[in-house]
Formats: sequence, C-alpha cells, structure tokens
Amino acid sequence: MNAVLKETAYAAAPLAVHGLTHSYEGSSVLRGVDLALEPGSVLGLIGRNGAGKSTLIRAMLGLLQPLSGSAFVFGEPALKLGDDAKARLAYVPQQPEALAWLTAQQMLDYVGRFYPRWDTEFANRTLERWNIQPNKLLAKLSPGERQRVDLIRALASQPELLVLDEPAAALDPVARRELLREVALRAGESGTTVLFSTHIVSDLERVASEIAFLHEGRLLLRCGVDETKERYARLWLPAAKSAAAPAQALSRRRHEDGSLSLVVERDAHEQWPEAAKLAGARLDALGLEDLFVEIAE
Amino acid sequence: MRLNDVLLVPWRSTHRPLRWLSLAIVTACMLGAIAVGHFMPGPRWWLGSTIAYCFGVAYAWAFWLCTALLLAIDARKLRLPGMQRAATCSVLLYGLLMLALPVFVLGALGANAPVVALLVALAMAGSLAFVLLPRWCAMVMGFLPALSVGLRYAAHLPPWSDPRWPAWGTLALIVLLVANVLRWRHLLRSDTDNELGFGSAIVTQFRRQGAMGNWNGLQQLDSGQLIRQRPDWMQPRANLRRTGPQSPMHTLRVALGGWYLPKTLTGHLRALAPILLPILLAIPVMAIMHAGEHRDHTAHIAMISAGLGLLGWLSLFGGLMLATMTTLLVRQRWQRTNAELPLLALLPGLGDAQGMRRDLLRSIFAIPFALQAVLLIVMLIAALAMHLKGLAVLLVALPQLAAAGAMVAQVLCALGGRKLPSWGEWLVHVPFVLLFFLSTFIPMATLGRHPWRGATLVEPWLLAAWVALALVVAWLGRRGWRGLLARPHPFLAD
Repeated sequence: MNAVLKETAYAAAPLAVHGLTHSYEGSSVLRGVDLALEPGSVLGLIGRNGAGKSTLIRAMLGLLQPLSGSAFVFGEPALKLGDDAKARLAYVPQQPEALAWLTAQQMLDYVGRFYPRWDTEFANRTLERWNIQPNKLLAKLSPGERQRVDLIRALASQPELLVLDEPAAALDPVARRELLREVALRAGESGTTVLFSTHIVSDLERVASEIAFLHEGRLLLRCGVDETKERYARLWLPAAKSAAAPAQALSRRRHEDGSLSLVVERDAHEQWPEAAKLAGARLDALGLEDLFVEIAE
Repeated sequence: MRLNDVLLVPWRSTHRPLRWLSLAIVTACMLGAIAVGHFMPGPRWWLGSTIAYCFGVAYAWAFWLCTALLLAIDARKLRLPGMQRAATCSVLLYGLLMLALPVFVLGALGANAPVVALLVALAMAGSLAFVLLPRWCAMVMGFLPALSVGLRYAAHLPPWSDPRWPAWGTLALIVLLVANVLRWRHLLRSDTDNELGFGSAIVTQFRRQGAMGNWNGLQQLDSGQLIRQRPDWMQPRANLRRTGPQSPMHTLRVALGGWYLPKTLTGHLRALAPILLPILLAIPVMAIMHAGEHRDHTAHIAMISAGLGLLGWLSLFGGLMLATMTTLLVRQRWQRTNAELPLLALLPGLGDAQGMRRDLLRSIFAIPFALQAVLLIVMLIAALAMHLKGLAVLLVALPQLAAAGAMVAQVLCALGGRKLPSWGEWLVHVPFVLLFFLSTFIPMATLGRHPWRGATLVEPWLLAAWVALALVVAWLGRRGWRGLLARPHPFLAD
C-alpha cells in the first residue's frame, strides 16, 4: 500500500528521485537519496561545498547516469525525457558556460525557437533592466552577467519547474535580491515549482518554503523553513550526564571538558528527547544558519 | 638573495615536461654546434657553429627563460621583492652565461669573437622580443627573414660578409634591447591580467597549465578563452537563420561551435582574419622581394618553393589535422558539464534519443568527411601524376583513410564515454603517427633519378602494419559505438 502511494506521489511530483547513489573515482557522492518536490513548492537544497548538491541536481534532471536509483521529471524517467517535459522545465547550471561564441541576444533567439511559450518581450526587457549589452559575446561577459543571461534564458521559457544550481554564486547583492524576487514571484503567481541549491542561508530564508539539507551525500533533514526553530534544537549535556545522551541525533560533538553537544529533533508527539529534562542539560533554539553550522561542522 | 635562487629561476617557473624538453633542445643545439664546427670545411666554420648555437639560444629565450617574467609578475603581486629580484637577475645571469660561452670557446679557436657575440645577442634579444611584444608583432617578425633578403637590395642593407654589418647589427640589437626592457617593465607593472587578446604578449599564455608543457594544452584551452583572445572585429558572427526544431543538424552545429558554427559572409571573413592578415602582409613583402629580384633570383625561388611546400604539406597532413581538430573539439565539449551538454539534453524539439544520436553524428562528421574526401582525391591525383605504382598509390591513400577512421573511433569513444586512459591513447597514437609519416614518404622515395630500392621491400610490411592498425581502430570504434548506444541520450558528459 505504502509503495503504491509512494509511486503515485512520485508520478505526480514535478521532480522526484528514489534511492539515488553515485560516485566519482570510487568516492561516494550520493548515498541513497530520496526526494520529491510538491507542485508549487520552493525547495532550497543546502549543503557544504562538495556535499553533492550539483551531482544530485544533475542526476535528478537526467544529465548524468547515476550508479543506482531512479529520477523522474513530471513522471517521466529523467534520462528519457520527452519534448513536452523538457518544454516545461528550465535549468541553470552553476557558472554557465554554454554557447560562448554567441551574443546574449543571439543565444536567447537561438534557444527561444525551441520553447512553445517563449516570452521574447520578457527576455528583451530583462536584458535591458539588468544592463546587459545584447550584442556582446557571452565569452566576453563577466561571470555575473553570464549567469544573469542564463537566468533570463530559463525564466523566458516560462517553465513549470525551475532548477537553479547555486544561482546567486556570481551575483552582486542587488542582482541576487532581484533574482530572489523573480523566483518568489514566479512561485507565488504562476505556481512554478522551484529547486535551488545554495550555501547562502539568508537566500533560503528569503524565498524557500522548504529546505533539504544534504550532507556527505545523504539527505539529513527536510522541513519547512519556518518549522526549523520549533523542530530542531541544540542539546548540551554536562560530562557527567553525557552517557544519557539520546541515540538519535543529527550531529554529535564532544567538547574538551567531556560535555556533549547534540542537534536533536522533536519526536512524533512533538516532544524533545528525555535527556533534555535532566538536571544541568540545556536546550537552545537554533536558527537556520546555526542549524546548518552545527550539522555541517 | 642567494646565487642558488637565481640559478633555479628557470627551473621553478616552468612545468616539468617543458623544462626537460627545453634542456634537451638546447643541449642538442649545442652538440650540433660542436659537430658543425668540427666537420664544416673552410675558414668560416665558426659561422655555421654559431648559427647552430643560436637556434638553441633562440628556443631557450622564446619558450623557457622568458618565463622568469611570469615569476617576477607573481612575485610583484605577492609583494615578494626578493623573488622578483632573483627573477630579474636570473635573466641577466643566463644572458651573460649564454653569451660568454660561445664567445670564449669559439674566440679561443680562432673565430671572429665580436661577430659571434653580436649574432648570439641578436638571437637572444630577438627571441625574447618575439614573446614580449604584442602578438601582432610576432606575426610581422615571421616575415623578417624574407624581408631582410629583399631589403638587402632595396635599402642597401649590408650582407653578413660586409664589414659594415656589425654596425647595422649593433643598431638592431640596441633597438631590440630597449624594446625588451620597456616591454618587460610594462608587463611587470600592468595590473590587468591580460593573458589573452591580440595585443597581449605571447609569454603570458605560458602561464596556463598545459600550454607548451604537454600536448593536452589544446584541450584545456576552452572556447571562451579562444574567443577572448580575438578582438571584436575578428570575431566570427553566427548565422542563426536556419536553426530551430526543423533543422536539428544546423542547430547542433551552432551548439558545437568552433569551425562547425554556421557563419554569415562577414562572419567567415572575420573567422579567416588570422589567415588572411598574414597573406595581406605577405603582399608588400613579396613586392619588396620582387624589387630585389633583378639582382638575385634566390628570394623569388625561395618564395615559390615555400608556397608549394605549404600546399603540399596541407594536402599531406590536412587529414591528420582535421581528425585532430574534430576529436579535440568534441572531447572538449563532452568534458564540460556546465556548458552545451545540459542545454542540449534539456532542449525540446531535438527528437528522441535515436534521432538525436543520428543528427549529432551527421553534424560532427559531415564537414570533416567532405574535406577529407577532397584531400584524398587531391592526393590520388598527385600520386597518379607522379606515376606511382599500385601498392604505392594505396599507401598514399591509406593515411588519409586511416585519419578519417581514427577520427570516427575517437569521436565515438568521447560520445560514448569510453575514452582510453592516457597510456592506452599513446599506445595507439605513436604507431599511428609513425605509420602515417612512413606511409606518406616511403612511396615518394621510389621517385626521381635515384629511387630507393628498399622501398619495394618495405611497402608490403607497411600494408600489414596498416591492417593491424585498422583492426585496433575498428575495435576502438566499436567500443565507442556500443558505449554511445548504451547511453540513454548522447548529451551525457564524460
């Protein structure tokens, strides 16, 4: 029954992966990742450098063949996407380098011919608004400008699913803010599903409705952005009480004096672990950035 | 600042393969100079010896010792004045050492020491200027030997044997030294990291990993860098008129870029600018040479021979160049995960996997196959015109066919993600190139008044070697093809 429900959920999800594993030169990058996006959600994929975010995104979109597991886009196998699914999807890679020999305008004209819902006016208007010279070759644009042209390319196709790999990495604060506003607008008004990876926590707080935290190839947690403060906390136990630490914790760090710090989660009954009630134990609420640092450190 | 640090600068400023290659070339030239001096008859033996030595010196300064500048630039940026001084001192020290060695040795053996010193100094300063001056100057410098022959009469320049020559040579040396010093200071203090561009110095390119250091350098030079090297007026503009879902092959050619890119007429002219410009420069050079022709036919004959030689060289090795260029381009495109591959993989309207594979292969191979067919026909016509016999004709045709086969195999391996490891590639490439040269030149050895009789004995062996190599290429191609078929779509990176 659960399997059937899961399959149905995967078929309905704009983007879903199940049991995804991958490795480069013998080193594991993804270790059995399960993830499904709900229609209209904005999921921020967060993790340290080298956590496997880009590999996960590329595997989700069928841009690499994983060692095992399956990926689906609008219910179709990611590695065998049809034209219809492709037309509903847009992807911006980290540091885009495509078609360096075309001008920004030529690239948009070239790509636009393939998308049935291409918004030429939006493309031209945004090029002007973002101060990008349309007749300049892409190779001669700065990394930030190039990333913005690729974002225009992705947004002008009016996608139902927008996948952005570190979209703000090369952008200045103003451009970053404009991008996030555009993403929020698309999600809010058009119901676009968005997946974006980042390690800038403030971007997540600004625009994401959910976060998924990828650490060493595993998806450690996934929850609503607003839930994190209520759901996760740091539990500090003095050395004398550290033996009573709960077995389940997202991270565990022993200090020099023998005391123990753990990131703990409320259980199904919304209760903190029993150890939190011990004398001397201390429970601290964690913001998103603190949570990220505690787990990733 | 220790002497050790100064001496080790060229060692520290270059990649290991370049270091050893340079040392080998300089040593070979020095041994050549000794051999020429020993075996050359007549009183001017020292001139031959000096010229052989100058070749080594010129190489060392153009490709090896000039890299001290890169070290000096880095040292300046990192605020390490000691290292910067060491780099500058090393240039002076090696300059003096390389000058003093032939002057004392050849001078002691009876050579004209001032002329030796002048020739060696000119070789050093000239080759350093070649890499320090803007790139367009290097192009002009390529015509200097031809110009000097013509100008000898037009501007009454003295020949080497003339007693006035040292004065002219000294003047040229002073000009070169001043240019080198000014350019060195400019590059050292320039804040912009202008590695690319038509006005940049060639030496700044040696910084890139692989450039000059190993053959892989070409692969590391991505399209963006190549484009940034050219000024805007030389950029080939794309012709997008026939792109779209209705013309997948045209669309794929745009995505492949490089020489596949469909261009407008102006775009073609711009793309050919690096070839057309030297031709335009050659016209005044030829005019100058023609002006001196009534006094000396050598220049005229040399020019015609050079032109014919270039055409012959292009016919012989054009196929090999095409195969190399195609393979490198495809490999480069299929290595980059953030470039054209994700765009093409997710572009709607290119058809199903089978259709995409078919269109992609047609886009990649159509132009090289057509060009290789033309080259093959030219080669066969030339072979028949030279009255080559049956097996020899086949041996002339085989390298072209093998180049096409090797290109197909390597491209399939790149597309199928079944590239051989480096050592495996060397095992195939070295015998292939060797066989290519032998098979091209041995049939020619059967021509002329004194044909090489051994050629008829070698030819069947060459044919057997080609059959063996064809089997290896076929195996490689099959391996790549199976890899490509196994992929769900052809736009997966290596």
